[in-house]
Amino acid sequence: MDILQYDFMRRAFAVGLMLAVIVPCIGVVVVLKRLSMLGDALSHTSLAGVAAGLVLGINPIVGAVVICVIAALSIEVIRKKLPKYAEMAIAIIMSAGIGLAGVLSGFVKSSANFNSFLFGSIVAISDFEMLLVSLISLAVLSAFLLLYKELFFIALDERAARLAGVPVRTVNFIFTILTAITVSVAARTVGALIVSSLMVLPVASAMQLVKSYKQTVIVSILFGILFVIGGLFLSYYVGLKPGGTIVLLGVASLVVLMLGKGVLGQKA
Amino acid sequence: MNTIIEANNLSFQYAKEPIFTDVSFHIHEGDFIALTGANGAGKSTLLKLLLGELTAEQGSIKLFGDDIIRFKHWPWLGYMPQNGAAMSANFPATVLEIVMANLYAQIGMMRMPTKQHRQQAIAALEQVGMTEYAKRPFGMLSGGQQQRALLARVLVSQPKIMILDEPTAGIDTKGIEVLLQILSELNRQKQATILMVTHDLARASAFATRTLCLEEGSLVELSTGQVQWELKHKHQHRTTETSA
Repeated sequence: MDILQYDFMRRAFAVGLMLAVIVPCIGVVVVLKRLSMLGDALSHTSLAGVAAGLVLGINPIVGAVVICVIAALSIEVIRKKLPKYAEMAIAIIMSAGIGLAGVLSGFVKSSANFNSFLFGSIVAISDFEMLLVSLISLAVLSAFLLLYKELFFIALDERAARLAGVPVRTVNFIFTILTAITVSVAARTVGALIVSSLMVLPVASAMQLVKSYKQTVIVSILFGILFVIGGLFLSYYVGLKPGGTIVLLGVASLVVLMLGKGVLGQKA
Repeated sequence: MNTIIEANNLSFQYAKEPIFTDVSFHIHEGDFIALTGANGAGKSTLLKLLLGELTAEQGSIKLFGDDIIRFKHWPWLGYMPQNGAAMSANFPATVLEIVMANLYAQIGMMRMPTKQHRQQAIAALEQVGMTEYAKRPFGMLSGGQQQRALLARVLVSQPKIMILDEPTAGIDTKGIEVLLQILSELNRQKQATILMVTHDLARASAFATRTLCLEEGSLVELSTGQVQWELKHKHQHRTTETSA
C-alpha cells in the first residue's frame, strides 16, 4: 500500500490506533455517567492551554494538559457543590475555557500553529508527541483495566458503589485526571473541536449492537479503530482533512446503525 | 436480639424547613420494617441519614453499635435505590454484570472476579427466581424483573440489613406480590433484616413485622390495630373525596 510508504502516514496510523483504543475507553465511562459534554468542555478548554503554551514558549501540549487537569477538577468540585445542576458545571468551565482561549490567542504570534489545534494535525506528529501519546496510552489503558469494575459500578450507581466499599472519590479523581490528559493529547492529533466526537461516537455506535458492559467496551474500541483507520485512508485517497473525515465516518456509521436498528425493530 | 440500627432524637431540616424532629427508633436483627408516610414526609431523608449521606442537625445514629461517624463496615448495609430500575434501564449491562458489581468488597480493588464470584451471583439470582435472566440485558426486563434483579444485587453481598427505598414503586400488581413474597420468605426463613420504604401500607403491612410511620415531622410505630384503622380511615377518606 503506497499510503504506508510515507513516514508521516505510518506515524499517523500508529498514533491514531493508540488513540482509537484509549479515547473510547474513557468515552464509555463518560457516556454512561451522562457526562457526554465533558469531552467537549475539556477539549475546548485545552485550547486555552495551547494558547498559553504558545505565548509562554512552552510545549502547547503540556500547557493543554495542565489547563485540562485544572478544568476537569474544577468541574468535579462544582458538580459536588451543586449536585442538582451538574451539567451547569460543564457549561461554566467550557465558557471560561473558550473565553480564556479567545483572549490568549490574540497574543499568539503564529496563528497557523494555534489553528492546527482546532482540527488537529495527525499527519504532522513529532517524535516528542509520538512518545507522549505512547506513554499516555499505556497509562490510560493500564488504569482503565485495573479500575474496570470500579468504573463500571460508579457509572452504574455511585451510591451503591460507595456502600459496597468502592473508594469512589479516589477512583473519580484518577478518572478525571486520565480524561483530562487523554483529551489534551487527542486534541493535538484529531483536533480540539473533534476529540469529544471520538469519545462519544464509538460508544453510541456500540450501544446500538451490544447487550453487556464488557461488549460495549470491546465494540467501542473496535468502532474507534474503524473510524480512525477508515478516516485516515479516506482522507489520504480522497484528499480530505483527516480529523473531520474520521468524525464524519463515525457520524455516518452511527446513522446507518440507528436506521438499521429501527428497520429491524419494526420488522420484529 | 442484636440491635442493628439505633437512632435517638434525630432532627433534620432543609433550608430551615424542619423535616422531622426528635425521631427515635431501633431496628433489631430479623425485623422486617415497613416505613411509610406521605410524600415529602422525610422517608428518603431518613434513609440518607442512615446511609451517612446527610448529617442530622441533632441526635445520634449507631450502626451495629458504632457511632455512624466512626462506622466503616458499609458493605454490611445492602441498599436498593428508589427508581433504581429506571436509573439502570438504558445502561448497557447484563443482569449478571449488575449483580456481580456488588461483590466488590469480596473481590477487592483492582482484582477481577473469579468463577466462585460468578456462582455467588447466580445463587443470588436464584433466590429471586431470576437465574434464567442472568445473561439478558437489564434494560430488556419488565419493571418487576428489574426490581428483582436489583434485589439480587443487594442479596449477593450477604448484607446484615437490607435498606430498600420504595422497591415496589412503578411495577404492576403481580410484580409487587412476587417481590413482597420473596422479601417475606427471606425474612421468615433466613431471618433477613429489612427496612423497606413504601407507600403501599396495605400490602407491606401484610408482610412486615413492624410498621413505622413518618407523619407531620414525627415517627410513630403502628400496632396491627392502628394499621387496620389507618387503612380503613384512608380508604373511607378517599371514597368520600371521590364521591364529593
